Amino acid sequence: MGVDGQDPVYIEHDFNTRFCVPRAVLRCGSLEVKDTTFFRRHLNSTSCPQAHQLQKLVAVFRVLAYGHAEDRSDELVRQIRLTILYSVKCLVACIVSRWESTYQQRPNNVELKTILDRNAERVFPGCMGSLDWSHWACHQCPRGMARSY
Amino acid sequence: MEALWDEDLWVWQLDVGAPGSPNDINVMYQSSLSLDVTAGRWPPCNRSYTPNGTSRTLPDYLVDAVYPRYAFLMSRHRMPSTEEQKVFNRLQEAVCKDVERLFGILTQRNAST
Repeated sequence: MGVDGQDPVYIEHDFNTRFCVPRAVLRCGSLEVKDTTFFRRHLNSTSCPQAHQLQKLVAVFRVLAYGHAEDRSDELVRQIRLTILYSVKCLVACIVSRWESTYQQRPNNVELKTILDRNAERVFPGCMGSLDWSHWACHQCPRGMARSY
Repeated sequence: MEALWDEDLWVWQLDVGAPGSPNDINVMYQSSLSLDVTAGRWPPCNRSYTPNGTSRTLPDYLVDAVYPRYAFLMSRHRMPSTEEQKVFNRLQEAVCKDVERLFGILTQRNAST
């Protein structure tokens, strides 16, 4: 459902291509950041409203999903490079503080006991898991313009 | 990217962002996991178990043969000579490949190479 109960402007596929992320992700992100100080809409000293939070989010997702340089979408979203750069930091900080404890935590005693028991059946008593390391290049990394400036 | 995980795709720890030049050992030295282990904050040593007749309380992680021989890492024998060591290596590799499976799944799903 779009604004004022009308049909949404973009269908799901157009939304994906236009905003780089599915509608649910953008909505989730905007709900998450809407109360943070940085993303709230401010008035500047001349009483002009500053960028809307959705404006900032669109720029952030362009940087994160397409690997655009921070000043690439400044004409589209009407923001300076530093604002976009700071929005990326703020959104990532929001995501980390909100979901880190959900997805990335060490097992508690009960879970650890289950793991140890199961690995004891696999002839490795006392094994908590396996650990390894791998090269994984970020193909969205904007390195084409490295050292140009 | 350093990953630590168990059988059902539950990643406990994922350290991403190390520059491309360090090798496995250097990445491990600077990861928060290794710092926590050396400082004694992790893992909890309250359950004892008895592999090979010796009693231990420190659980361990399975790693490749390139990692150093620490008490919390269990690597395979580098040059197995006896039959016992070969059997151990075979079993250890069978369990340790869990993490290779994780990297395969991650790269396939996110289409990153």
